[in-house]
Amino acid sequence: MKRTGTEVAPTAPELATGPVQRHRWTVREIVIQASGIGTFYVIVLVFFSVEAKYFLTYSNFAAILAAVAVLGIVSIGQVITIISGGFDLSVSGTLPLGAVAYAELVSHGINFILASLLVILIGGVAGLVNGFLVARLGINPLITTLGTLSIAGGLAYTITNGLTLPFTNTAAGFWGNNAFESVQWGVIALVVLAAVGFVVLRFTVYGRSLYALGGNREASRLAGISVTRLTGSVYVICGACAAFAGVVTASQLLAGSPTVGFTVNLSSITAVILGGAALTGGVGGVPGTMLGVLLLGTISDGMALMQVQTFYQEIATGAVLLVAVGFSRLRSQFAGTA
Amino acid sequence: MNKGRMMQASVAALALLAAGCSSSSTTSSGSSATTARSYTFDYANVEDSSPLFDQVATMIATDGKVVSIKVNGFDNNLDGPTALNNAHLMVQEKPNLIIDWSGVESIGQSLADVFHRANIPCIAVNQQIPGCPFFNLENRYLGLDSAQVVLPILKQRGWTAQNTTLVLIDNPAAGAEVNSNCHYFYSYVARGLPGMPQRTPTSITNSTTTIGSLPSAVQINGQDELDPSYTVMKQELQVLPPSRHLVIFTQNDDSALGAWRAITQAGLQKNTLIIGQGADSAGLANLRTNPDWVAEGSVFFQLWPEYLLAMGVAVLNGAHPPALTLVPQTVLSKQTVAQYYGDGDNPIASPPVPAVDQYLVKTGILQKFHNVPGL
Repeated sequence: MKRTGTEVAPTAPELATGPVQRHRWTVREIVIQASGIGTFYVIVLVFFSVEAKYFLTYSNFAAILAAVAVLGIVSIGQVITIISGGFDLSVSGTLPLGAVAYAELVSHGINFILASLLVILIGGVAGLVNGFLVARLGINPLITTLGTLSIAGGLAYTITNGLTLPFTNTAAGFWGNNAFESVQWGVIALVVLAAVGFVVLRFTVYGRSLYALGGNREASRLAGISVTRLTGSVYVICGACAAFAGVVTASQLLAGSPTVGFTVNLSSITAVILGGAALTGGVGGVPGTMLGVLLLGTISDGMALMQVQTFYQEIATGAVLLVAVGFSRLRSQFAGTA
Repeated sequence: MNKGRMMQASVAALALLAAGCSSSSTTSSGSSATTARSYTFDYANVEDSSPLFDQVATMIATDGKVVSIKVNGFDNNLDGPTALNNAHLMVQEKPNLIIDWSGVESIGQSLADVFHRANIPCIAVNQQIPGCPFFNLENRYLGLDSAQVVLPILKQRGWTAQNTTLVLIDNPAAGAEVNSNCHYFYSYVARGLPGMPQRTPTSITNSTTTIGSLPSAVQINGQDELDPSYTVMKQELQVLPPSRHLVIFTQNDDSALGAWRAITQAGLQKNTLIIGQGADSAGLANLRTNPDWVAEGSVFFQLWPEYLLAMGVAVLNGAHPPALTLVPQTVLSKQTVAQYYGDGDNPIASPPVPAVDQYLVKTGILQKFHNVPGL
């Protein structure tokens, strides 16, 4: 299996080859390395640094990180699901459910840590339902997660009666508070989760099994992997991540609203795909996904700083994303012919 | 999906927010004789799944009983085809009058065709239906009246055109009419602050992002929701010098809450004034307790049923309503919030009946509910 710049499961021959031998780089290999989402992100950074007066400041980067924390946490769950060959649209229901559940819990005097854990548990249960329906009953993930999206979103509305619940205890907004120098605890949580996700996917049997599962489900089953359990587990993780993202967004806003995170399902899938994953499964990784998340957040931030009118922002965002995907495709093609 | 509809409903709610244009009214005692006859009205609500709008559907049925009007309810579910289907269902029931709140733009003609073909009088709520008297608000008053509340506070604090930026948090997707409140707000405040660039409300559009070089105003898209408003406010704070005073105008309380959170995180609350709309529980609480939350628009949804019933009876009695019958509305300040809401979340009093709505008073309906002062 050729490497295309994104993490893929190693084949047995690859594992056996040992240290990589040094060789002289060809022009084609240099182009391969220079293209892709990372390079494109650098171009975007340079562009906004030149065009937007206040872009290249510490406080602005802290603002970008705060803005992408929620999407990033959801995307970690999403990339794991996509690598395994599925996807989860219900995160747009689980996230607001987590947000309003957290607001309810902390408003009833429950400590924010315990409340966070309970909400993560709620998200895990929501994911378990997805996992059961997809893995055990074999229902298509699209149908399953659309259904649970509606249920979870409806529950969020039901809990709040459609209203926003402001925190009565502002100390519960811990995840939205600054850990240091304008960097929020929610961002720290994202970094920790991303690190854990990276290690799990790259260095554990569980992670490698996910790549194998996404690459070839039947072969994985024949190789002795518990396909049902593994498939179910990714939805549990994804649900837990989405619910925790709800906790973070509620903490940032000091309020739980059933309307938050409405587009996070598509945004997270976009970030994952930008990061080099394929909807067919078996390919992708956390670092690329985080780059995708940062790219989305940076484009939004940069255009806002440039005072680009909102409708043009949408057009420009779409165009930039297409170019970014083109960069990734270019890299894959170069790699494929190398 | 319900969620998407809820979001659309919140946009529709914005279309219904405006400030009181209430002019002092000389109320007549009216006559209750016109309500002696029993009527049947069919009412198609914009969306029952929204608590905000469901109360209108619930209360119009309850209030109808008080004035011997039977009200049959339908749910348009904020969906054009559903609204059209409901129109067909309603005309089959042959009510005396139909009140339709579709919440969907540009389907008015198709609804009108159904109602007029059946020869049933109708009232259009929020979205125009040709040939049906129109019940709605004018968003410009929301901006104008908010500006009237804010200007004296700016002057009292010594904030000037040189050190103040107006932050207009709009929702371009909601259309020009809804966002006109932002434009009128800027225009009126600019007139009161010497040195601020003068703009007519119509010269400011949804595409306007900044006014003046300081800047005197920025217009950003908060989508009338909590988290987008928080995000765009945080982004804008990267551009605006922290030394400038900020006056934030929002179109609903979720948007105001999101923006305010960004302000408090940046530690700028002492430098900021904010205006919410909608008079929901959080907005009213902030108006009462937050020294920098200085105004709150209210359109008194709870009073719409009695206005609509009165309008229906007036139409059946042969009245010729004006082009627009205005909803009861005002912008609350810290001084007036107790007058209209007491200590709670439900109104205890209504603004005076607007001058154009005086024909409603003559039906005697409003007098039955004792909500309007002087009636």
